[in-house]
Amino acid sequence: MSLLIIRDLEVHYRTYTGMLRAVDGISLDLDRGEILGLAGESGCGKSTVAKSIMRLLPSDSIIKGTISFNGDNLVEKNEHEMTRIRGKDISLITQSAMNALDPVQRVGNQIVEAIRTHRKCSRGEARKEACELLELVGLGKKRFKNYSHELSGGQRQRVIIAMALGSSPKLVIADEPTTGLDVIMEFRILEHLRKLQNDLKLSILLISHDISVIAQLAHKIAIMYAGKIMEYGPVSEVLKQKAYHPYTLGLKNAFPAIENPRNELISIPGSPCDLVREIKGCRFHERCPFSTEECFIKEPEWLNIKEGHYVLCHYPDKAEIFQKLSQERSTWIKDRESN
Amino acid sequence: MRTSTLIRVENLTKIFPFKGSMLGKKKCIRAVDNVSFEVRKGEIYGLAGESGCGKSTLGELLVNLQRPTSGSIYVDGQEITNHRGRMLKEFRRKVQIIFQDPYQSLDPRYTVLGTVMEPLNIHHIGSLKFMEEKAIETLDKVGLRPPIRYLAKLPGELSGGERQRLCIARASVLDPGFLVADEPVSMLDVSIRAGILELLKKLREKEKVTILFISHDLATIGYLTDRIAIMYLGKIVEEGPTVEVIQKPFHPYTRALISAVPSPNPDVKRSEVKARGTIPDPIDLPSGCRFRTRCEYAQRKCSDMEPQLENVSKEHRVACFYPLSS
Repeated sequence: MSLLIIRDLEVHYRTYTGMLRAVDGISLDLDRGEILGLAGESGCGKSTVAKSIMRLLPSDSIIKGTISFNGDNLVEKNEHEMTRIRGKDISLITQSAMNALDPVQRVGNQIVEAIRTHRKCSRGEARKEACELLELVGLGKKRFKNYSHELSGGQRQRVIIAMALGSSPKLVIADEPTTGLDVIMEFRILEHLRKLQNDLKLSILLISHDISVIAQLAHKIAIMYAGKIMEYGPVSEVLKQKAYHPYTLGLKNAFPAIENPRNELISIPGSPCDLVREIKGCRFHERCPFSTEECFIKEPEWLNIKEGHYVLCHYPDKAEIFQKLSQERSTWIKDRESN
Repeated sequence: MRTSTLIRVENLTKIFPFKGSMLGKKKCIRAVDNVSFEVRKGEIYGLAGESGCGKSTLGELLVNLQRPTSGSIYVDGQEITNHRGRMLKEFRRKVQIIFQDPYQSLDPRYTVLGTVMEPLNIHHIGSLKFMEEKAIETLDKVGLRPPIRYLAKLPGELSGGERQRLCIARASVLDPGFLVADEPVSMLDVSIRAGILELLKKLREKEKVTILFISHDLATIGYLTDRIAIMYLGKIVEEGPTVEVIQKPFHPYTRALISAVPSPNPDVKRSEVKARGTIPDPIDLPSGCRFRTRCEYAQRKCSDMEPQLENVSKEHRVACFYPLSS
């Protein structure tokens, strides 16, 4: 059985203009020892998914559906029970976590604190373990006595990773773990995550707007758009020529690849729909070059096309034509002569 | 045909004083250190490097938002380094800048029309009617269509992509010959980025604008620019035609940077990144070659002497004593 099974998850936020459906019915599986990438543009709800697994949503938001972790439904847990799971079985590494380190505490002591919060052990034991963790993330135990201002951004992010691993979690949620870091540091952190995942048999939910990061690290990928998952499958299929959803195809066109610097980039016209208003039909139809009347009227169903590959589109049978046409600029940018 | 030079930079240096040293010894950060290069008319020139390498300072120096400590900048053969007053204002008609964050670089109380008309107002160009027409024409050009629908809007009502288009409109309404774009797409969503890059390309083709494109993202730079300079701790370490530099880097630092860039294709396996440690403290620079502390090929000579940019081919320059052969 999968470690994490999300079924029909809905999260609604209360806003001044009405209820905002940040996550609007998504289903996902994450196996043990697997890295699942969750990709999407800003505002698509990917971080909300992370927050709902950790149950860190604002108190006036509404959460529906099930999040089954290791057989327990997290949605039904109360705050007291969640405290025991949060940080222990599930750890969260966020984008700006490196700025969350205490400036007046040695980083080693902060790791010790993280370990002792969840486990009964002596200071000495925890200290020894903290040193091991610092070695594990490639900082070395000589960094134990450093303060956070003595470390670079990438090193601080690695301290956070060490803290996240301190409780030997089963699941690590990494929400944009390298955004804002320089490429060389990003490369090292990703390599570290991969190695740790391999050595410790961790499960990682890797959330990123950058499909290149997911392509290099994850086994499976879920592409999210406006609160729904549009496509979900193995990285080797979705990110290569075998994607089914026009949005996935469009997203791939928009990404520059350093090995082919002169490959043409094509943007997806328009912008994501307003999640406060009621959405009719497919939520991508306004920006989709292949949309028909059916897309406008009827919401597509979550289709299983083949083993482990799902898509939310009315026309999975036309995928081959889509794949071919999507590579041409004229498909996406029509009447508007340029831009 | 030889393309002519638009911007020529000679031995440009910018030193920021750094307060707070306890012993009273003055310390400083050499943000841009003795940099010389040329930007040709009509090209898109890329400036790449990690954070803190001085690429943004260099961009600001070129549009005179910072004054250089020493060195000279020539635009169209005319030295502009010490322009002040009216001369400076005249210069600013020809040179404009786009910033990274379109959420912070627009006045939230100015309408779209007001924002685009402001530069025309400042430079007293034409009648009110002419200014309005010019603003509308520019909005159309940057893809805010139909312009009528946008005129009365405030930046808060626009999406990120639209805001950046507005910034580009504001910068290009004076028909500048030279545009500095400092990380113009890094705050934007991926599906929108390509559109902005396309717009910059179009400005270059149709309006003959020369663009200095500053970014940490080598994949984007590789896509957009004609030539590229890689900066490290205030120095240009490699310069050349973009595709050549990316596919055949000579400097060990360039190679490390390029091999660290992830690819959206899961089949592309990255080779190991060969750069140890992290960027040294810019206050306390290593002697000789600045990259030597992280370079695996470093020899004795690298710490004794500082390598200068030298040609490895007609267009390609590298500052390294032991350039990589392939």
